[in-house]
This record gives sequence, C-alpha cells and structure tokens, in this order.
Amino acid sequence: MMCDECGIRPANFHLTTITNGEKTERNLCPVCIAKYQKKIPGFDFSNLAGILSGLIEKKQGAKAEQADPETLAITCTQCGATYRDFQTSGKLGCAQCYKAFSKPLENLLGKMQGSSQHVGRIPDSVAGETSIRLNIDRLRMQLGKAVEEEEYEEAAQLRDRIRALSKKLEERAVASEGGSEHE
Amino acid sequence: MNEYVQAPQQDVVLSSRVRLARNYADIPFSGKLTKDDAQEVIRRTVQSVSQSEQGASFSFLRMADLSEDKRLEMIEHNIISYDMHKYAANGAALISSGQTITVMMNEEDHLRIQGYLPGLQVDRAAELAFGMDELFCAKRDIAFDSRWGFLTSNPTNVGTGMRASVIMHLPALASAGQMSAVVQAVAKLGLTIRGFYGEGSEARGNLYQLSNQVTIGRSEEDIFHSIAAAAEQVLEHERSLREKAEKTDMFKLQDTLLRSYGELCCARLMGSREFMRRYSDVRYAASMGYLHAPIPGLDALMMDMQSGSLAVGAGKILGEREREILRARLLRERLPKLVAD
Repeated sequence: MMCDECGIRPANFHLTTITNGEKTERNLCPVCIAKYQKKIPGFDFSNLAGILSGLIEKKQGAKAEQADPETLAITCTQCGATYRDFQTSGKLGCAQCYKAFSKPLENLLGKMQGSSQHVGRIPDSVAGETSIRLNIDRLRMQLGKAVEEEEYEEAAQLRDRIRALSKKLEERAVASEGGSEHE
Repeated sequence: MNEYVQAPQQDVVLSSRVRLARNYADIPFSGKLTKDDAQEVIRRTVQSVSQSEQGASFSFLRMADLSEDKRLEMIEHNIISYDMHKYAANGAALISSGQTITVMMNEEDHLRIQGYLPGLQVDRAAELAFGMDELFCAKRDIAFDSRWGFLTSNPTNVGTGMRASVIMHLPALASAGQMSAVVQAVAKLGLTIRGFYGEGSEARGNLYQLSNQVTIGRSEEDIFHSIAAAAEQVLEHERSLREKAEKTDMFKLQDTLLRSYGELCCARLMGSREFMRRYSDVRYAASMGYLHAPIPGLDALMMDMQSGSLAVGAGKILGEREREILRARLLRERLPKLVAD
C-alpha cells in the first residue's frame, strides 16, 4: 500500500481524523505523517488524539454505558473470552482481544482516558527503520519545545538521544547494504 | 560514619519510580495464563536479560520460593510491586544488583519493568526502565498495535503501559489542611495523589504517591514531565509552608518534632501507626536542620521497621506485641547512630 499523500513511499501509518463528526482515514508514509505534524503551528501533536476523542465524547453525551447483549456476546476467536468476561473481570484474555472488542473498547477508553490512540514509543522491532525515524521526529519536536522554553539541560539530553538513534539508523543502513533487509 | 548520599529534592521527595507493562503477543494474558505459559514467559524473559550486556548483574527469584514475609519485605523496600503477592504462584523477578531495576514476571501483565531511584529523578528512573524495555522490544514478540500502543491485560494501562510515580513527604501541607486542594490541582493534569501507606484517605507518615492516571493519547515523555513538573510545584508549596511554620513559632515547631525523636529513642513498645507519625516528625526535623540525620538513612530505617522486614530480620513470624517490642529495640539501637552530634 502506497502513501495517500505522496503516492511514492509505502504507507506504514494509519491516521484517523475526525472533523465535525466525520471520520477520515488515511494511510501515510513516515515522511508525510511528519509533515502533517509540522503543519499545525504551535499545536502539540501528542494531545491530538486526546482533543479529538474529547469532541466525540461530548457528541455522545453522558449516557450511561450499559453494553447491549450483542456487544456482551462478542467473543475473541483466539482465547475464547467474551466481552461479558471482560466486564466482569476487568481483564482481557489475550492480545487479540483488542481486535475482537475494538469498538466497545474504543468507547470505553475514550471515556476513561480521553483517547484511544497511542502516540508514544514504538518498539524498534515493529517497523524497524520507520519507527526509529518516527521516534527521531518525535524527539525533534520535543527538542524544539525544550529550546523554546529554554530548558537547555533537557534539550541536551534530547539531542543525545536523537544522535544515538541517528547512529542506529546509520548502522542499520550499513548492515543492510550487504544483506537485503527491507521493511 | 554514614555513607548516605542525598538525592535531588530528598527533603520532600523520597523516591521516583517508572513501571512499564509489557506482554508477549502470542501468550495469553494473566487471566488465561496456564502454568506452562507462565513458565514460557519466565524462560523468554530470563533468556533476553541473561544474553544482554548487563545480564550478569541481575539475580533471579521465584516468588513461590520465598516466604510471605520475605516477599513483604521486598514490597516494603519497593523492589517488587504489591500485586506480586497476589501473583505469587507463578510470579518471578529479575533484580539488578543496585536494586534500581526490577523485571517482574507473571504479575498482572507478563512483564512489569521498573526503574526506581531515590529523590526526584523521574526522568532517570524512566531511562532505566526504557533501557531494559529495549531488550524486549528488540524482539518481535511484544504485544503492540499501532493504534492501541502496548497491549496490556487491563485496558486502563494500554498505550504507553507506563505508570510513573513519586513518593512525597508532605507534613506541612497535610497539617495546614491543604491536601484536598493539591488533589484537585493535580487531577487537572491527568494525575492522581493519594496516601502511600494506609487505606482510604489515610496517609501514614504523611507520605503521598503522585502518579499518572492517563496512559494513552500522551507520549511517555509528556507524562513523566508532567509528573516531575507537578512534583516540583507541590514541593515548593510544602517548603514554603515549612518555612512559614518556622517563622510563626520556631520553638514550638522544634519542640513538637524533636519530642518525637525522644519517643523513638526511648520507647519500649512501638506500634506501626505511632511509628509512622514519629518518623514523619523526625524526617521533617532533619529537613529543617534541627536534627543532623541523613534523610536517606531515615527512609531506609523506616522501610526496615515495617512488619515484613522486621520478621525477616528476626528470622521468624512475629506476633503484634513481639513486633512492637522489636521495633522499639531496633529504633533505640539504630536511630541515635544515624544522628551526628
């Protein structure tokens, strides 16, 4: 799948935005998603999901959340847990449960935490190079903020971490020259 | 004589901790975990750690091999989580030699990676935890989803899977009746503060734990920076109230606090509730310079005086009265030695 924005790089990221209750979903490459983050001046991207789900929640109103029988009966094909089991124990059975119960969980987390979109760290192994690049982008944004706020000690730490990650990228590039590692 | 090193802001902040919840993608979560699954969690985790550079500095413990008191002692010294008690049957832990890093296995999640440091050092505690986390995340088997983030057994931890916290000593804020204002203020930042020891609204020893409530929709750095920033605010407030109390009537303040030192040095029976109250006074006195005792030493002593640690020290299960006698005796021996003349 290619990036919806540039069409030249493979899309590794899925961006969901909700404007006036209308949901748009796009698949973007790391370069374009980074551009997208910079396009919003003075806007802290890390809170975007929080703000968006805040809007959704308002729309839904304060109706008491009583899952309907259909929802309660949803079953995870991997571990056999039902949504009812989850409501009783508060615990999910396995990693696949997040896929099986994605709808009701989205509602629940939106209410509980104001968001259901992860914006933090991505393990290196998940997307390899892409995730390192995205981690670098995230740190660069923080660096900009730290410099702006004259938090120089923090800025120095961030700079070191960016350097370390950049070095990792270079090492990967060198390592994959011989072989054919591709994400 | 004493080799205690003062950590940043230790007059108010006892310690900083960051815990990361991680699970293996192909193994059922704790609720559906079989004995064999639990064994596999331990096998993979121990293998990852022992193959790493720092592997040799970790020691491995199975919870089932330890007595209840020994587990309690480790909980009281913040080495393992309170819930390890509940998951003792399959639980295990890898503990770094300095006890600053612990990897708990088969707790509510397959892995709970903890970085723990004295004083206000949330960022460094996070570094410790993330350094360890990279070991596991380098392999492809950690449950992660680009939308949900790190997948956890309880969805209240999903996303970053991170709980960052600091333990604060707030006697002046508590006695000024300002804790409810603090609770409300930190709630606005997605944080929560509550008594660290004791139940309900009780906060024994005036010790409070400040931690994040939100785990998804914010980056890890964003979360622990807000904890550190909130802790700074609260501690400034606490310090200014301590100064105010001194300005109002220094002799009264010194008298109140130092009488507790006298009690701790002379008592023959010392219950845990009274001990925590007196410890709070003595710690307060030390932070004001009324008593020349190293604060880290007082905190270490406080942890050693908890019930599990007392029993481990005594080498047997203790009854309530035996504990009170032993606590009083150890305090008479150890507390005066901490205080320089």
